[in-house]
Amino acid sequence: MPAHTRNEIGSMSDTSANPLTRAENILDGSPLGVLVTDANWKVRYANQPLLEAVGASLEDLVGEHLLLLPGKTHRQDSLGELLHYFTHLTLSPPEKIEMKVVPVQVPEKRFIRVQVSPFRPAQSEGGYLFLFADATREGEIDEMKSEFISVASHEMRTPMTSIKGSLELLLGGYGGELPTETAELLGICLTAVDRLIRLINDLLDIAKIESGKMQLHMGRMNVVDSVKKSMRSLRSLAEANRISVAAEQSENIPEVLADRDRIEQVITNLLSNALKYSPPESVVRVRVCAVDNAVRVSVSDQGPGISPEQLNKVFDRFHQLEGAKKGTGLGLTISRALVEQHQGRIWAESEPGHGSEFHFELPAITGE
Amino acid sequence: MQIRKVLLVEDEEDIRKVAQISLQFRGGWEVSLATNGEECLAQALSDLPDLILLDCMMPKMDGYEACRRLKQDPVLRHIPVIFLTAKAQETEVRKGLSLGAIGYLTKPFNPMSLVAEIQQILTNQEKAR
Repeated sequence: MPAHTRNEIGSMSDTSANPLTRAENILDGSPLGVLVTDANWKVRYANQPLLEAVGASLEDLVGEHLLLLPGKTHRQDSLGELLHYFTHLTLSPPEKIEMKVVPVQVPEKRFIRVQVSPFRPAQSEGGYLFLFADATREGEIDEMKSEFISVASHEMRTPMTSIKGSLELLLGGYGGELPTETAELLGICLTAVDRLIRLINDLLDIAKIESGKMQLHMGRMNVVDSVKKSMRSLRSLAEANRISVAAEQSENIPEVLADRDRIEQVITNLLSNALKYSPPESVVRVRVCAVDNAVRVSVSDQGPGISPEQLNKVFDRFHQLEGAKKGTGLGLTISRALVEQHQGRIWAESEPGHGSEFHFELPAITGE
Repeated sequence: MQIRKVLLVEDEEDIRKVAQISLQFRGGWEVSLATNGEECLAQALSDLPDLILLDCMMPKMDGYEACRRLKQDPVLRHIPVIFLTAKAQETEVRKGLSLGAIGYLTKPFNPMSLVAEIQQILTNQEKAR
């Protein structure tokens, strides 16, 4: 729709005098949907392409809270995923530009790339700028890739299980006592198969997360129990590397609503990373504490630390730090996705030469 | 409880073989085999085993349906059933226990400790009685 037929934003007579209106007219010609909210997520502006896409007028949207938008549009679209993403944003507001490809049903499946940037102009109050672009092709290719990984991993897991079982029987003496070197070679096979199985399981987790098929079995739980369980499962790894693991907790840790197995997976991942990067005779600390309506778990090590430029990338897929050999490069990516699916957040702090500290927080169950 | 004969029901040939060897080698048990729920019912009737190890996901008739039918059969209902399941189906199999199985084991299992784990489940079951 050409800008001069519109009358939602001010009168046309002052177009040249009002720089804001002029900027809005330019934005109406953009192929991107543009939405601006104030710092409290109330809509201040939406450009014409966005209004047309959602079938709403500017009056419908201005002043409305971001979370109420999907209900304000005139089309009967299922925008649940988008709403879910908006909820995530309002709970943990982005501090720099954040981008995500979100699937929506409108009514056929499409993907939208949402880019959110906070702005804090000097004179007026701050807010958020949203840019929406169609990313259906990109989203479909990504889905096909996840589907492929999922099918391929499933097909690989069964033969791996048979190989592992056969090796364990042979090493366990089923064929009689083995010459030392034969046992050593079979031991190498078993270690390699174990690693492949871990990789396959990680790939399956990633595929599930990326296709939105990761289902959480939520229940009330105490994070401290999961920390204890993870510590028990990693005791032999710690002892083998001569590293002591110290656990601390503040008093009155509230319960959280979470998937017990998955939270344990996150803690085990952080703890085993800390053990892998720790020098012998050092200490790994696990702390659980309550912070403003959340429970925080922190794992710190006395390893080599992570440089600032690496620190941004540690949660990326297949990113491994120098010296890492035994991992899949997917553990932290999975941990981040799991924590975020619990409406929590995860981050890392480090100073090269002074160890690293990884934290995650889950919303606490408050009140009764 | 003394185990002599076990019926192993598993559709994947290689996993069946590994489990069979493990039960014979570690437990000294006699092992008969079936590859789906239908075969399981027929085999159970002809063998009357002391224990049935039952995979969950199988063609023709899955493990849950086979368990339900075993527990309805006056001749077979007393035979203890233990499910074998993939880790991913753990939540599902917990529901499957209401069908009358006494426990479950997750795959991949370690063939060197499979017999010990089965005996642990049987011991727990006897204590609970």
